Amino acid sequence: MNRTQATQESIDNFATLLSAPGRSPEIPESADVYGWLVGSWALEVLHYAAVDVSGQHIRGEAHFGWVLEGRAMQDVWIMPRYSDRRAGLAKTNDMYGSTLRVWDAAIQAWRMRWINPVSGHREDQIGRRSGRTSYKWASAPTVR
Amino acid sequence: MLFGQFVGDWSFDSVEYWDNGSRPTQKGEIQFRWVLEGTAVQDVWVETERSDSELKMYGTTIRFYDAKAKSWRIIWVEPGRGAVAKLKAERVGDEIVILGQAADGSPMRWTYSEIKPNSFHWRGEKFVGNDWRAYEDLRAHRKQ
Repeated sequence: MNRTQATQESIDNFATLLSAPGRSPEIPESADVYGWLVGSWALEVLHYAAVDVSGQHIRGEAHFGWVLEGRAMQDVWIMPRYSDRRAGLAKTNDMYGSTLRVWDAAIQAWRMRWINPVSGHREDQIGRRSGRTSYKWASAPTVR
Repeated sequence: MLFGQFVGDWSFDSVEYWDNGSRPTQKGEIQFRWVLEGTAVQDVWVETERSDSELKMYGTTIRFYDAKAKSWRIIWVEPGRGAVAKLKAERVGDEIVILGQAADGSPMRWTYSEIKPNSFHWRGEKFVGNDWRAYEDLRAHRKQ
């Protein structure tokens, strides 16, 4: 088997190069906090930017997948949903952003970077499992 | 656009400069694409060959232009080496200079230079003592 040849075939497509079929064996199952999210989700937006928007019936979508040989996850969050987007949307409830999550064995937690270029919003977060059903996170100051 | 010019598929040859004097060489691929409705440029950097037995690089960069800060915001993750870096880019003459922190916390600088439609030169430096020291030098050529 010619490894270079196999690699050549597999990188014809950006999504193929970026994505991975599953979690890397280097990440223990006990650390797999986010793997259940893999796939596509329809969102009903109730609160956004600390505002109750439940009366506005805003729809969105989110897509999660393993990337980079299964050592990281990337998602895309879209609001309003892809099929409803058009030029001139109000920027207030507008999101087309992405998170990268990397398992860091040294701190036994996930390092996360979120960007939403629509608004210039960025977040740095640390994620780890907390109890059975909830997830603890903390926000760190951003670099200026 | 500072990074839109790189969109496409590239192959590269690189050399690393280790503190112990070794000079491992690498070959690999870079793919740049517009993502998130064209507000950001994401790439995947993959080493397909190394002259030593170190883990081959497999990382991604996402960058978007922050109009408020008049600056490109950059996230680079290379999970295999624990890199989750946040950087800023600016044009300096004919070069693109990117500043951030390496995984060990030391200042890191990446420079794109000799930028032509089908080739560019890239070097990575760390600030050691009181001077910049190259740790990697790379030449990329656009795939035809």
